[in-house]
Amino acid sequence: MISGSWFERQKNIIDYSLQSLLRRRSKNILILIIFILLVFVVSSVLFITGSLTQEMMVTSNSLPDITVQRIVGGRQVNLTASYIPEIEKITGVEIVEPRVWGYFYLASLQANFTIYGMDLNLLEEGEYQKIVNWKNIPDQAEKNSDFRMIVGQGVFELLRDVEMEKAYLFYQPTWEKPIPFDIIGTFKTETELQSNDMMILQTEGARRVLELPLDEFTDLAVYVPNPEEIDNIALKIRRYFPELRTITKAQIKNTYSSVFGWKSAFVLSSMSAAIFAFLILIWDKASGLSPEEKREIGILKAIGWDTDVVLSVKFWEGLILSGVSSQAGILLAYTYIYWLRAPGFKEIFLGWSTIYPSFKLLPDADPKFLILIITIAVVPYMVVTIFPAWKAAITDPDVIIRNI
Amino acid sequence: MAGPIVETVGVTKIYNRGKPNEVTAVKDASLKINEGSLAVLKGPSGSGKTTMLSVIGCLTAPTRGEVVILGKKVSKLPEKFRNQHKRNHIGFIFQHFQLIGDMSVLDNIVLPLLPEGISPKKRNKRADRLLEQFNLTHRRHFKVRSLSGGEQQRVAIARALINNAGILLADEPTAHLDSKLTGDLLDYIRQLKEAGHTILITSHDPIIYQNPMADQVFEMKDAHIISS
Repeated sequence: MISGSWFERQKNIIDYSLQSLLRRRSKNILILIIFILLVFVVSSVLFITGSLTQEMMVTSNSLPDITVQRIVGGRQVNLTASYIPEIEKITGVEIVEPRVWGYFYLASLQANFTIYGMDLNLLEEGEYQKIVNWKNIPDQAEKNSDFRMIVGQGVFELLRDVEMEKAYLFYQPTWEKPIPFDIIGTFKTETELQSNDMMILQTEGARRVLELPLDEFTDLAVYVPNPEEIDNIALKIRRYFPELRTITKAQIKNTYSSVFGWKSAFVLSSMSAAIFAFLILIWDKASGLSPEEKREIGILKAIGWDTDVVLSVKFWEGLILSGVSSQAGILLAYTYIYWLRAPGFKEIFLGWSTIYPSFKLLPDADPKFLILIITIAVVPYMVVTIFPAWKAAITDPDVIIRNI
Repeated sequence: MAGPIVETVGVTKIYNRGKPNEVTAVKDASLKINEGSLAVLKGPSGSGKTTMLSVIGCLTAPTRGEVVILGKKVSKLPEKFRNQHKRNHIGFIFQHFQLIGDMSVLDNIVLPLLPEGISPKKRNKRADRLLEQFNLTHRRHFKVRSLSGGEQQRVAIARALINNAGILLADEPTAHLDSKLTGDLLDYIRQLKEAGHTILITSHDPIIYQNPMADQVFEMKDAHIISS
């Protein structure tokens, strides 16, 4: 009798498991492909949801603490500057900034763009320097200081296609003549989720394009230094001015989060029939031991293998197959979402946007997601494969071999 | 000749106990096999020979009775210890060889050594000796399913011997062999007996149970041992 080390024993078992997988390669390749597809679909949804939510959360940090809008007849309307000093009187409010923004339909491109008015001189300084790729400044811009703009990358690419990447002529049929705007820069990728379809115009120019009277604004941005006070101040604004609606930064973040959560749940549930079908196929392929496999277990037991060694073989087979599949599925999903930009998938999640071409998702692979995916892929598979093997392994080998 | 190396005392084996298809395959069977002897368990099909061999080979536990191998009562041992005892002392040659067809000759032969943690180098060395002994070296890497019946039987014998087992059990070894291959098998059995192995063969083939090599012959009928 010769006996070796524990390590060598494990090596032998893993070696046998690999050999066993290869011997049944046609069955296992089928399981592998189905498994990879399943993990790929689930991972893609989780990746895109996580990435978009994360990007929304990051960009929403620059939102005002409270956005104040005037509501008439259940719809948002412009408000006058008279509210600004009144709101600034509320204790805890640091500053109230009036904002000018709206949407503009570009018939030639059949797309809606978000127009936002602000003092572009501010953008040329400080933190904003980092988020803008400056292009045609300062010569052309100086000629036309009220009519210059910074555009999102998506807008820029569309305009470049029609050879308008340096200047764009805004025009409505009701206007006497078009209004030319110089494009002085584009937003960098990091802000694309929000800036992709956006045009930031000098405020005066934005008023012209949006046809907004001089003493009116779209809404007000209220800044509150103490985060604990935000809800109280919002409440006070609504009490003093019942015609005003307040939206806090936290509410916007919650909305983003639930929108993407809902969308991912919707996508997953709409795919549930396919996922379920795949699961049944895997169950069928993995759980049923073929007569050959049963016989093999009987032979191994008959020549002296213990039940736990037989189960170790099945454990390693399951772990190798499901581990390789889930990792390959995750890798494919990562490539599809972050390198190939999720063609056909991204649009489902970016439902409100009107232009898609250049949006680039930034990788946000949460390790918790990865562990979750691997766990929900590997554990059930292991159970499904080990249970029938265990049933065969505890049967007397002569019952299996002689088919009693 | 030395004393008994294998002993069964009042062994009974009932399959599917308590079910409508309950079968008593062996009833109250006792035998003693001496060390170094060639024993034959003869009888017609369905007489209980293979079940008796399975009980002695620790493939199944008796419903009642005791099996003693090398002085150790194995039938009541927990599975792990029973398997250990089997791996150390018993080699089994099955009626249909029970080889894994899509594995190579070498891989089949070394199978019993894998749970022992024997390194590939050591186990291949042992296997190579057996391959040579049974004239299978040229088939070392062939898939078993591509071998002839006689070659498969030699692989089965080599696998039974890989653990240096002192006791060899063979179930109807001539059942699928022609006269030439039966002759070859008898030669191998002779060699093994001369090497000191204790051999128990079940057979209803006269060439086995009437062979002068047989030291002990037990006859089974309707689940009982009727003569020895």
